[in-house]
Amino acid sequence: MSPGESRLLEFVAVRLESMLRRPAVWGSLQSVEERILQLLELRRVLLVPTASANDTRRLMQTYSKFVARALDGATAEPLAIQLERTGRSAEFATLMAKFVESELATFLADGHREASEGDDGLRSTEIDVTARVLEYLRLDAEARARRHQAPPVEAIEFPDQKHS
Amino acid sequence: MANTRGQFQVEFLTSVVASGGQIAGARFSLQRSPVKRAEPMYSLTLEQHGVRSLQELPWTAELERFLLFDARRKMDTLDEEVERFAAILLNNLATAAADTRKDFVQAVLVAVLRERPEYDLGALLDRTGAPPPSRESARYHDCAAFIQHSIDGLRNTAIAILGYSPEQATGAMRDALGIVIDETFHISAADQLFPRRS
Repeated sequence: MSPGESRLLEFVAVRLESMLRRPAVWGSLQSVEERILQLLELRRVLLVPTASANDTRRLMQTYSKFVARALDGATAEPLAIQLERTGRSAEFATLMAKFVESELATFLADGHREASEGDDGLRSTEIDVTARVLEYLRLDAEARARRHQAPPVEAIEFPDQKHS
Repeated sequence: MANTRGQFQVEFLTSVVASGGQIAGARFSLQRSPVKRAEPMYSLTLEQHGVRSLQELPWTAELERFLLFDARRKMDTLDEEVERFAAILLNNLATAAADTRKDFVQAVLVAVLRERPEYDLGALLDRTGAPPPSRESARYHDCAAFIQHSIDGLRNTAIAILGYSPEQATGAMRDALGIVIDETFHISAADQLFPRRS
């Protein structure tokens, strides 16, 4: 993986962590949903460089199935709209976080097949994709650890002022 | 160059002010709950070139020093000021505990507050169950002096820098110290999780 790709992967991990932790800071839930899906598309392209950047079909298929499982009577509308309509907006971040994780699991389950389609060097491609996934998991763990790092303990000192 | 989260926060706010912006509103919450540690959070309304934006900033010592001593910023309500004072005192107690044992610092805090009738915390202090600390050691005197300086220094700062009246400052300190005792000894949390039969 090139340093540029590594930096992009780090950007994806950090941005996903931030959006899932405080989605309201990043705009309306619908726009956050779109941006998370775009980041996941970028993550797929970075993890499997041989995959076509224009092929978002697999991701959207996985997402539609996930939404259908998560909501009774799910429609083709964005998840954020469906949750708002049923007064369940508070569940948005939890559901999206579940999808971000399950999408990676789905990718691990069938991603190698995707990576090796039409590739003569099957073994080396698999190893490369696995190395990229491991790198992503490391960057994701670092992003979470930075967020939860206990701040250094430092006293607030007060100037000497006398008041009754 | 900024390295810590607090330094980043201060650098950001300083740049906003330097470019003609201002902190138009300041809110604060300890974000307390019986099942997790408090996560103190500032919500600052920033105004730049007529445009307002809301920034949520986790409490850090650097940010607090900037808002208190440089920006001289009050909170929008006195209730939020009380929670902010509690966060400052909890931070200073954590600092003292880093140098010695946590239960020792807690016992010294209770001993110090028992000698401060103006804060009228007797009933709450009786529920702490903290044993009286030995007053013989230099460690006790250092710790007690630090806690007293934190309490008095914060009250004086509330008057001299934030512009509260002495009565308002004492009232806010009393409520803040109540929160500190409650958080430190998990009194409300115990009541909620294990209600006592009357």
